[in-house]
Amino acid sequence: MSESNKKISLISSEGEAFEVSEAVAREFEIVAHMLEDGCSGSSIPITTVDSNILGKVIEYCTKHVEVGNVEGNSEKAEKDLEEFDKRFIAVEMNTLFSLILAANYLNVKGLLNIGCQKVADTIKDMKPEEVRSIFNIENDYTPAEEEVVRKENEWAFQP
Amino acid sequence: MTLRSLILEMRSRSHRVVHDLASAADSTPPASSETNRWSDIPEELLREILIRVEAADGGNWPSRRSVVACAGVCRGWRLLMNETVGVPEISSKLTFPISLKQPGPRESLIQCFIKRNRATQSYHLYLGLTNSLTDEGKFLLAASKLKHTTCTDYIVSLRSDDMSRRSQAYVGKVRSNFLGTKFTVFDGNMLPSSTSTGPARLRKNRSYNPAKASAKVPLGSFPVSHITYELNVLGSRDQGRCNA
Repeated sequence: MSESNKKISLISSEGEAFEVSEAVAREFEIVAHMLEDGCSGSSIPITTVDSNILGKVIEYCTKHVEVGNVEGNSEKAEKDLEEFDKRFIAVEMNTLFSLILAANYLNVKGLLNIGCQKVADTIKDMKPEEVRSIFNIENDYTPAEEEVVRKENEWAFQP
Repeated sequence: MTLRSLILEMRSRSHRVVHDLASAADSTPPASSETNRWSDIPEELLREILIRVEAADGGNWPSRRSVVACAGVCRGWRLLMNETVGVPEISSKLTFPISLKQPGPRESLIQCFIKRNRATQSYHLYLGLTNSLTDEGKFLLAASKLKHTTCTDYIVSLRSDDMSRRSQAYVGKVRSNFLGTKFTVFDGNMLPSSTSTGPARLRKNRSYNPAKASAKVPLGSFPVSHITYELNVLGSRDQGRCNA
């Protein structure tokens, strides 16, 4: 069996196995390190990521490996990949959160990047109260600090 | 196949069966999609997000208001955002109202323009957003002219619609002599804003009492700089000299 055809099973937190090619598995840097450290097993438990999210991360990595393997016509491929990323990351906030956590844990840099960028884009032009409400964050300022924040934002949002 | 992977393999198989059964029974979705856990986001990930908020649109206004909004979400976000935003001296960027009182960049200039309204004797200072001399700008400060018998005061405020010296928006004033050749800048000592100068300043200021910040009245007025225009041979005002 040639190196590129080798299959690896990634096991989600629920115990579901996802069989992927080694090239895709290596997109998870955490897995790549395990393989380099001589971990010869063909199945690797990913205990902190559930099946739903692990499936999505694999979908992302598979696409990126596929596009990376295509020779020539790189401009079109890059554009396609950009489109794919855009569609891929257009998910609701809780899924986005899980994807970012998983990308961080598994060390998939590209996914972590588009995930964080998506959150940054979502926050754009929001007032602090709106950010608090979509992130479910408690306002822990004292009334005096709150006043400073209010004044600052009034100034910032004045065109 | 090693013993370990064999065990893992077996475990995965048995779990898969369990999972299949569970999904057949339309199992409840994993906890992740039920509750909003964003408030538990690890600090390093929040920092990654805030760095991207700060870098949006090259760090320019009006996108930069998102930086101020993020610094206003909660204490944790404020601390991280302040670490991400450099002082104007280093970043060449104006972000918070307090930036207007901090030293500017040494190597570059910040381009601004003033809109005068002669009828209301008011002046609005804008940060230029384009290189051309268009009206596109981010409002920074407003001033209104108050003539006295021997001098003229320019009241400086963070709000164009609130020029009261008792207001929270009051920044300070510029006093000009009768001839308009000598100006003194007075800092309104906006104490509350010292909270927004980031952790470095807060650490230095251990005795800082947040209760004091609620004082509605500025605590004093201190001359911070003098600007003198020297008359040239033609009698018109020449280049300004600034002595801080």
